[in-house]
Amino acid sequence: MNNAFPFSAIVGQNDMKLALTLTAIDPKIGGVLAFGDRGTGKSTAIRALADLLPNVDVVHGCPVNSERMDQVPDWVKTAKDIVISAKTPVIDLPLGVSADRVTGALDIERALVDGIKEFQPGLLAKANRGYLYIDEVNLLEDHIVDLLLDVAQSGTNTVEKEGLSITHPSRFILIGSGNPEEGELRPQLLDRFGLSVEVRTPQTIMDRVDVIKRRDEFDRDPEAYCDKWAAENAKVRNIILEGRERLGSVKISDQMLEICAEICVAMGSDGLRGELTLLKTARAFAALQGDLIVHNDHIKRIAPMALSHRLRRDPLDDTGSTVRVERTLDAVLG
Amino acid sequence: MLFWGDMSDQKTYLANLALHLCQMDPKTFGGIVFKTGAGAHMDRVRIALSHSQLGSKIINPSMGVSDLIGGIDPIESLAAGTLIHKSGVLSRSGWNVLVMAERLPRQSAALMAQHMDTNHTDPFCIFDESEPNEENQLGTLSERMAFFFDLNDLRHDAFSVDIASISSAEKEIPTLSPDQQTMIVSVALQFGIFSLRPVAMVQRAAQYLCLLDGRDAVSQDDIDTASQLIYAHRAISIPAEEENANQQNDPPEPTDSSNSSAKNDTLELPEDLVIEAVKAILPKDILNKITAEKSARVRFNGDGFGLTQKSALRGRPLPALIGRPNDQARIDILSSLRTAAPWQKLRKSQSPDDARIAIFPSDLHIQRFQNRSERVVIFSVDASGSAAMNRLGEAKGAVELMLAQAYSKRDYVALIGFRDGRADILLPPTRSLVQAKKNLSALAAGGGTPLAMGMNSALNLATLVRRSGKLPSMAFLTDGKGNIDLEGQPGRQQAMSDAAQIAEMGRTLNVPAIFIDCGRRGNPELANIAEKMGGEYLCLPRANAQAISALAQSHLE
Repeated sequence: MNNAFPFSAIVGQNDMKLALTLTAIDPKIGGVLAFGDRGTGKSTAIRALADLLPNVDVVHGCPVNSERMDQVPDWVKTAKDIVISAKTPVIDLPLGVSADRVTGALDIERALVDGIKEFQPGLLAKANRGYLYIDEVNLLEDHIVDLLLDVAQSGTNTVEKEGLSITHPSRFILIGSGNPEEGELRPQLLDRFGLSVEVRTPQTIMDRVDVIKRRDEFDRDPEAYCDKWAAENAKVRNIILEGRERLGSVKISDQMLEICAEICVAMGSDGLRGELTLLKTARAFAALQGDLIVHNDHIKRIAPMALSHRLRRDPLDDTGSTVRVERTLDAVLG
Repeated sequence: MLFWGDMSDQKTYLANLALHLCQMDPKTFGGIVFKTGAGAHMDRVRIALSHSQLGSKIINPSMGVSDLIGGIDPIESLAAGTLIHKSGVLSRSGWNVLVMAERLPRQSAALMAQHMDTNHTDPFCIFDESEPNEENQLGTLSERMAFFFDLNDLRHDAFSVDIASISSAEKEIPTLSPDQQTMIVSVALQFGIFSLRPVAMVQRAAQYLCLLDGRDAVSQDDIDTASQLIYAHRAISIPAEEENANQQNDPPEPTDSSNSSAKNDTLELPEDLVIEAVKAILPKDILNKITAEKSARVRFNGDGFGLTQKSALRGRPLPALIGRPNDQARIDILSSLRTAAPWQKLRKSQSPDDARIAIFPSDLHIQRFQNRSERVVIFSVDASGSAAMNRLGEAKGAVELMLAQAYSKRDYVALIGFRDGRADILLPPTRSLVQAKKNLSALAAGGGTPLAMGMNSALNLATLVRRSGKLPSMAFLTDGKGNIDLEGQPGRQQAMSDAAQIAEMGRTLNVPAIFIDCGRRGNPELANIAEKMGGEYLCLPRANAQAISALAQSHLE
């Protein structure tokens, strides 16, 4: 495939870039949902992510990207006992994809030619330990959403059909993008996303000129342009790696836990998931910033993206959800 | 410079330019949308495309995923005994001619858009045959199409197409100066275009225009033309005249006679030149529409009318799903056979009995239909007089409440406001709360009561809705004291008899209707009109948002 636009060359989009970086530091945060108007560069940022992510160790030939040989599922026959360093998988889940393609199914080709019953892994296998990206996520067919909901929750994909009985791990970070004017997202799916960000085009003329300049330069010679930004990308990659190392030692005081709980209660966000995400994200953000203790400012910065999509919707309140989160934050944190 | 057709005929000239640009760089420009009914224009374009260098192929809105982007070819696989993939129509080369685009499901549009983003796709030529005032359904696809031409108002002989093959220019693409880049960015903002994709398109178009002309540096003319091609139909606001007092000469405006000479010299600013160029080709009435009401926004960003989340148009079956047939689900024989087909060789080798076709339970597909059409509730609200603000506010609340539940109910909501000699569609049928809020933020009130007009617009909208396969129903909020007739003339008697007449008309259309009387006392005349229309009448002096939404939901089932 052709080169993706370099992540670090993206102008603006700070929230989006931050959210993606945070999930790279702590995958347990869950996915990122990017909602915004057309032509704001949602897809560009996500497609750029693949080049940026640190490599992962995988067993060579393992379709589910297992880390060690003993983790390879028993139905896999292609795996060799060599561990190689590979790119973090970023898998596109296109609209109109068939359920077979998502979960995996009997390998028709092998069955037809050799008469052998063998499982052909689907996108959920490929995305294990990586990212699963759904563009126009609000237009996804309902029965595909059903499949995803279960797997995203359990981290395991189970296929029971055509005489096959297969289970394999499928832990991935779900990334979705879409335009809210095209339709609403199913609430259950919305809840599976850890963070949500609103994407807007840069507001100043200077920035906008910058965007089209860079785009023009990139389109002329993508390879040269990516080389030019390789060093910047490497910097971000190092930040992510350092953040991951630091993450384990970041402390959250009981007082901070209380504040998180207080914020969630004041916001009326449903369920405990919001609170957990808020904590994890705050910790990842502290790690990113090089701090070992989570404090107010960390929470303030990341609370809108962790909570804005979890608010119970009040159709008669005109203010945007981000504003409502900020209002509550000011009230709680003072 | 290359010239196609008569230069004086601007639309022909621009359309031809656009077709050539698409052919040169389909990745940037995507394609071109023609809004036109079947007729001479469409035939001409299609013939020209099929004779062009690239050739052409037809895409039909009903094509499924495997037709569009490829999949297993069951027949070939069966014959050959190995798995044969067929490529989808999008990956074959040639102009993608999409016909009857108004029937294109949203998902197919998104699918095509994704294909364009990730693969090389030849340019699109889209024919949108919707009614002149209807919105297109292309959604995310229309954003990626650089060009748009409305051919409905052209005489049959006023348009011609001729696609020359351009020897792919080997020359290096010229760059825009920083000033020129700033200019195209700021012009876009002035026309209310926030997406950056059009800006990138204009930049590229200007560069190609310069190349086509055989020059080395991009000139002002190139930028003017590129902006005309790409910005004009995307404009959702017009650069304000009072902010920029120096740009007075707006060609479509007849008011420029008095002080134009004094201002002419200041028009030399290149940015203003671009703005003037774009303005010059905007349809005349666009100015009034945009300035008249903000809700115009929806109309010009090409966003859909009654956006379907799923293709759920009546009569259109949904894709078959694996499952067992039972009382509720009928077997889809074709899909089941198709699934079974590639397996036949294998299965026969496993079971030696003479079954001609071996079908396993796992092959069975069931048919899915939309068992109920999606409903569109059209609120038509009296925005006249003193109580108007209150009424509008409650109606707005009701709309938003209904939308908040729309996900489970699968309802669409539209809002029409009528006052003072006009009835405006404030909110086209939508299911998106986000969009509704955007459009409902500014509502005007006051003036007389053109009851007949309000009813008329609601009926017109209902007809449109019905044509797109959904079920319309109408809710009127008014005190029923009409005093402006259909012509816009004041006069109580005429107004009420017009309203009665519209009501009779409405009856023949058989659209469910409910009249909510918000006057202090019940108005027998309104009850009479409701009866004429075959609708229900309710007197509800202090209706609030919750009550209205509950009523509309329960009475319009």
